[in-house]
Amino acid sequence: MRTRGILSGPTPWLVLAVVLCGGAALAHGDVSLHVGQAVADLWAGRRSAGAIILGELRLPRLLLAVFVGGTLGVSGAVLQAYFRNPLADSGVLGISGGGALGAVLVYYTGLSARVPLAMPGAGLLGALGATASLLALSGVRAGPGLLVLAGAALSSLFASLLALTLNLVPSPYAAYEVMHWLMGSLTDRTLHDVAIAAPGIALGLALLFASGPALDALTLGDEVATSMGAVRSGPFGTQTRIVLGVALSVGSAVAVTGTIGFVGLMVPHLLRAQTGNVPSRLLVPSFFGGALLLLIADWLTRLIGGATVQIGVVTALVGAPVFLWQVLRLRRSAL
Amino acid sequence: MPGLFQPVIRTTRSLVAALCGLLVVSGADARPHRVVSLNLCTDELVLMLADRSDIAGLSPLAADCTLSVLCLSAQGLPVVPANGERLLGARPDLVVSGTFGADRARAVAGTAGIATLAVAPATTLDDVPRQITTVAHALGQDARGASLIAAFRSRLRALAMPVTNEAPRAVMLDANAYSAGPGTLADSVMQISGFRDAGSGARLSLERLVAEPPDLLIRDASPAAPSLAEAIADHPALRARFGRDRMAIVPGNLLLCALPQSLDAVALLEQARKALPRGHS
Amino acid sequence: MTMLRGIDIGVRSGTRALLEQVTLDVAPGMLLGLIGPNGAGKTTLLRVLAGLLAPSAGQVLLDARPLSSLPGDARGRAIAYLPQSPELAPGMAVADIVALGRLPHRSRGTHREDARAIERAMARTGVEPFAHRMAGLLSGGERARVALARALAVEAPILLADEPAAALDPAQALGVMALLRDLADAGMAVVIVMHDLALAPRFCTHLSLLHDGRLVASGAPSAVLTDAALHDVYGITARRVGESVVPWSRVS
Repeated sequence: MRTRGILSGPTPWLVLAVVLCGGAALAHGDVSLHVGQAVADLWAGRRSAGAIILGELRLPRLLLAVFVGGTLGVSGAVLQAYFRNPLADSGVLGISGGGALGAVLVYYTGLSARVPLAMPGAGLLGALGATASLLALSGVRAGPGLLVLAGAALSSLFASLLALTLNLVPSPYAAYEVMHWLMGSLTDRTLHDVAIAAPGIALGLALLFASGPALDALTLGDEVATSMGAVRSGPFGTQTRIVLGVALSVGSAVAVTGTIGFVGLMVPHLLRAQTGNVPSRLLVPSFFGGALLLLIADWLTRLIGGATVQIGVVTALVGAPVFLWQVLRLRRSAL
Repeated sequence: MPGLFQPVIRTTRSLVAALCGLLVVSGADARPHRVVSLNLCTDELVLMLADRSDIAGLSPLAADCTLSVLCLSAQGLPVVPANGERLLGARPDLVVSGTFGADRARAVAGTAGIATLAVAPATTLDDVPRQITTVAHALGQDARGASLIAAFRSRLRALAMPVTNEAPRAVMLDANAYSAGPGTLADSVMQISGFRDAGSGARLSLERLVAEPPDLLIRDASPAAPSLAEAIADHPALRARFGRDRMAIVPGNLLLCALPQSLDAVALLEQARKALPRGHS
Repeated sequence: MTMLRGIDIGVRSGTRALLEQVTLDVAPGMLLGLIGPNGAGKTTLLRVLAGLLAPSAGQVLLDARPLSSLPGDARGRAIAYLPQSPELAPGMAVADIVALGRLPHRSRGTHREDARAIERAMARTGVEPFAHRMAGLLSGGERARVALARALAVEAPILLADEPAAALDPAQALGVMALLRDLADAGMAVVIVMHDLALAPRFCTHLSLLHDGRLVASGAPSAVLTDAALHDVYGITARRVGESVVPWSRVS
């Protein structure tokens, strides 16, 4: 019963929607394209306009929407289960902000151009630093209020450090790029960006998916989870693997797209009831849910204002009400 | 690439040497001796036209080689940021600025009874002689201005190409994928080089740029300091579409202010035009 | 024959001794009640036996192997632990919660085996009628039975439970005690912490009486709950109804 197949629940519908929206994202863009011809050109290695648009412009955008959205969804589901707090999310807790700060530090100083994988590496270190600070500030079993408060303080600290960095680095354009890092964007990214983010996302997601049983056990409390051997303490224990998984995947994602808020908050919330509130069953649907959300949000940004609207603006517009709804629910249950 | 505008600097210097005697004769002492410039473009004009000993201050941008074609000559001269207090501290007898920006600093100078000159920005190469004449006159260097204009006009005549309906189309790709367009100096430089400007001044969609490519894509040199805004020019989609011979690199400092040195950009574009593959030229 | 043995166990918190030199054996067929006044160290001892708390002195052996040397899931398969106030996710269905008891087996058990263990645990605790209801909608007694069902679904040879009957009405408390005794009679080793002196001697095969962190008496209920022990340890006098002890008045 616990291992109800992947085929039940919301996953098949979400996969179908991701495939449809992803296909639409490849087929539609600023210019109309004969997709069949473009695919044939791409396959044959012909560098036609269609092949370049499909392969170098629409494909990276699609892949980033799917993998970054998936990462944010899964990390949100894991963080909410681990902290047993419905308001937990890599953005709210400042983990994304730490990752973005790390990436900004190596990108604008030119380090990333000289050292391969410096970007995801710095994203990982930034996200790890943020998570360590969070745990030191509030602890794992802090009440929902304290955890979110510590996260809010960290988020604004990282945002201001990021803005300061952008003001101090040599490029005159850097200061105007604060929006990319704080609100996120998929515009004009390259396959190189996808390659940069992919290893960390894959490794991090593997760690997070493997933490499913531990998250299930934690619904019974720390002691029972430990008594069943599902949660281990120590330097290679459950906490380390979860923190590393979140930092690796989120750090790599924000290093390329900047911080996109509220995805990790919204997606698990919307899917939880369909998965019987079992944390491990929420992980795969959250991946596809996050991917779907970013695909839709990316389409909306293009619909609203061309390339200049940041995708995080759209996710925040939809996500902030969900966050407030959660706050109201917490208040009602506290009464 | 400092080598590109080196010839012009050399020309200027020899001019200065040749005209020295003349200046002493005509040099009524009404000439300002403590000139402060508050704007990158006026910095460059002052550097070319004033005696070095008459320059009491330049804007902080004058010594930045990514922006200023005369950055090397600006080195060693005092830097005066555009705020009233620092401006008065430099004890200027003439403040040169653009018509936009530094309003407060200019107002302070006016209140203090200091002579000010606001130079309207030049958006075409046709404006270059007018600007030089105005600034040279205020600096008391009319003769130096006249010979600089003469040199500019003869080089322009040599370089100018007609724009026909069959002329190749070019797009100037600026930071953040904005295109230069009508009313910009880049547009004027493109036309003089015999290109039709296909840019509109709006943000370019890379998809559209790949689907309906101009014959030539003009971009800035890769900057030393990285930014996302300028990284767009390195997008693999553009490299795949335009290759080496349909992409021209024009250092951005040549196109920021309308100066005689902007003709270096014209020369670069004409080289690029000659290198265009068959069917695009 | 799975045997859990605590030898000379001591636990300190700062300078205070919570447990001192406690030695006890738990064998199959035993329903051992840990009794004693508040603060005597009953829950601490149960947590040490479960491997959740490392003793500062002495050790716990599981079949002659130090418990601390066992990997977590092996320990989880041998010992099921039920805390005093079990947490249940309010949004999860009862059947899903009970299924969590199979987590220690995830590398060993086949799915059919898991399903059977879950069915057995639910049948024994009588939670089947609300198997698909969410935990948040259950009464206190129903929740306690669900938590017990989760612990039983482990199908470990040893069950350690902290006051499993405390939150229940008399009928349900009797039912749970009878169930635990049945499990012991079927060959399980069961250790429970309890306060109820009326129920403890009736259902437990053995009692261990703790006082100020020390084991005062251990053995058959009648041998442990003597008038002298009740007087010295609890400070009460009692009346007896069959095997049950009914606290009657405080000793001034």
